[in-house]
Amino acid sequence: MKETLQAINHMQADGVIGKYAIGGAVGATLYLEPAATLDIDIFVVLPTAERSSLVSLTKIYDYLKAKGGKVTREYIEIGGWPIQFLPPANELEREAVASAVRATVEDVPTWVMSAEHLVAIALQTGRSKDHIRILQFLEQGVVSRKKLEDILQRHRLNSKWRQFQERYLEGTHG
Amino acid sequence: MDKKAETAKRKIRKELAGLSFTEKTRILESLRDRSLAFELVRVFLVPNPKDGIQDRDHVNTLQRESQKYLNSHLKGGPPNASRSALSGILSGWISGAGRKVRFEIQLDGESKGKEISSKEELDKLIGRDQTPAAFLRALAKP
Repeated sequence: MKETLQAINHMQADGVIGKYAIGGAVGATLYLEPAATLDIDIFVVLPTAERSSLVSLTKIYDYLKAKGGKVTREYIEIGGWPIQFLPPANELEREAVASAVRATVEDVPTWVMSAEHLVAIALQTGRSKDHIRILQFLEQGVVSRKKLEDILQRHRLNSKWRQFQERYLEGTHG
Repeated sequence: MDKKAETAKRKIRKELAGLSFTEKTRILESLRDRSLAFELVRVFLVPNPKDGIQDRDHVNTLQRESQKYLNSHLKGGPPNASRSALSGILSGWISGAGRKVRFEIQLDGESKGKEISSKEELDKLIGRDQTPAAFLRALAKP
């Protein structure tokens, strides 16, 4: 993954992308036990806001193809990892990128979404596997309840959170 | 799962969660390579040669679905219904007279396989208590 992250950092230094944050299963791995995944979800702020996301994503793919990246469907493979670049689709994802935390992989710096934002996005997405991941975050005790509640409040996810608690957490916490 | 096993599992998960991001990404890479290897396992629905199967599209759909559930079962991860769904499709198929199911795996460039024709044989490979590891061992046996 070192080579993958180096390529992304170079791309950022060259101004092709702005701030980025690793999300999804790989992002969750910063806080939880590793779980099998085949790709990396990277949320990117595109520097050319006035242009369409599609055009800017094309620039990313062109840049990485020139560096030896291989495109397969919506992924581009760099350093053995298929990567999906995702421009933030809503305010929650934009905030998650903006407040990402710094991490390192083999001394290569990178940015990963906070545990609380990963939980909030999983709640918003709402698939079964997202719910399982939320439970893993809670079980590991890596989520600040206060920070999470603030995020949920800001992004109007309180009702979904209540439904989640009723379904999965009733009677398991105080 | 009994309480002792559950406690041990939690302890291991806690220890894994406590590793550095670098160590965890190395594990992710091993898991990814294993997952990619699992994608080399193929399942085929073999019709009875005397069977006049008219709906070839339906058989192709069953085969695609079987492959999807097999991949998911082998990848493991959080509890999911892929083994059960796979078992359901293949049990239904194999209940037809003379029909078989063939599993193939590519190992070191060589194709190894197992053909089965009964529910009992199927259960030995993907029954309720069979793990993906046991399945792969059974396929790889000479």
